[in-house]
Amino acid sequence: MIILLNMIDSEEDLSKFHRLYNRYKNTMYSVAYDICKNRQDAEDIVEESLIKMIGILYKIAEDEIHTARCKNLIITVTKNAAIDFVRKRENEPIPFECVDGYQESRNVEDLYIDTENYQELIACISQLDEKYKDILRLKILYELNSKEIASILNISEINVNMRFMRAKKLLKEKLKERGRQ
Amino acid sequence: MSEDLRKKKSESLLKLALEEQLEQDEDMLRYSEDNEDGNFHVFSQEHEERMKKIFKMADKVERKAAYRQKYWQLAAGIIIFLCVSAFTVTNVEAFRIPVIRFFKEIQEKSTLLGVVGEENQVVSEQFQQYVPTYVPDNYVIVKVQENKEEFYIKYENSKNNSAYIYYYWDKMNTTEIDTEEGTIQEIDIHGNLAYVVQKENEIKITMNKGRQRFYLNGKVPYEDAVKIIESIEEIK
Repeated sequence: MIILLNMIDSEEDLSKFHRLYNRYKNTMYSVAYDICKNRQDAEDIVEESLIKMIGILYKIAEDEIHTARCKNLIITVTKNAAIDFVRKRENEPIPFECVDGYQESRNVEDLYIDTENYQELIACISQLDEKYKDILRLKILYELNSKEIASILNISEINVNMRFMRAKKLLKEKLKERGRQ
Repeated sequence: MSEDLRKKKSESLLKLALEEQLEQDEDMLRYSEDNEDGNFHVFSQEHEERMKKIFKMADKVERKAAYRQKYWQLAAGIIIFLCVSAFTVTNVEAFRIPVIRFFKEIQEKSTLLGVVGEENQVVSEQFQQYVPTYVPDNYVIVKVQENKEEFYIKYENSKNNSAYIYYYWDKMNTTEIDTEEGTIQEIDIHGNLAYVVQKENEIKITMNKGRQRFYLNGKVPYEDAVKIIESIEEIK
């Protein structure tokens, strides 16, 4: 059975990761170096990010490797790996995830969007902090689960959910403000 | 629009907006290929060595996923094959008859195994010596019924759709024989008088020994019917 399957599988089927690496290794290095400012550390961060990517490789289709979506995912993973690396290197404590109005956030599940405010939505997303943009993309765009996101962002699963609810709340508030204007 | 539909629409639009926003994202613009001047970093030898291990890890994961997919495809293929085969077998007579016959034979054999108890005993110890040891070719036991003073065994031949039943009574109160307007013949079986009644292709053999009665009734050739009665241990 294994011999048969080996014959059926082509080299191309098994090289998705290789292709990903070849295409984005320089981008990953640039992202890592911009944050850590050290060549060797940047290489370490690239390796660490690639190991994380293995866990979510199934989320990337063969024909998606060259898309902006895939590139952004790689940048997000590398960037967060670099931030965590630097934090550990400089023995900085992990910042406390302070979520104001957490109880209110729990009810913010219905963020209703119409085509009329679609362009405003894009503008509002651009205005969000990086960490909220990341969480929205990872959860909604890449459809990763909380465990996978926690591993990428180096936070707990509870924090993932809290941050996600907070992000949606902020987005809703920004949309409302734009609506009034 | 229903609440559920509205929610789905919002989610789809949000997803689309997030993807579209990538085009104007700062990081995406900063690290676009156009900005790279061709001064790519040359990775160290140590990095290349570590990457070999990482490639192996990735290949393992990818292979597992690929195999899982192939297994599902294989399973689906087998199920489709079985469905098509089942449909063909049940609808095409050339296939259906041999298959049904095959399973019927198995059923007969398993029925035989079911009726034959431990140590191949068809009936209990007290009646063992009254069971005929001769069974004509292609006949199998399909049923055994036993009471305190009597038993019967039914034999069937699936090849020619015939059957016969052998009865034994320990204490028969009557010696009458039902001839049913058939031809009657008296024969001697191991010194015992037996009556053979034949009507068309049906045969009845009745033999009394004191109050014991040995009786055979069914569709079996005359010679075989006589041999069956002759093979009873108790009357030899």
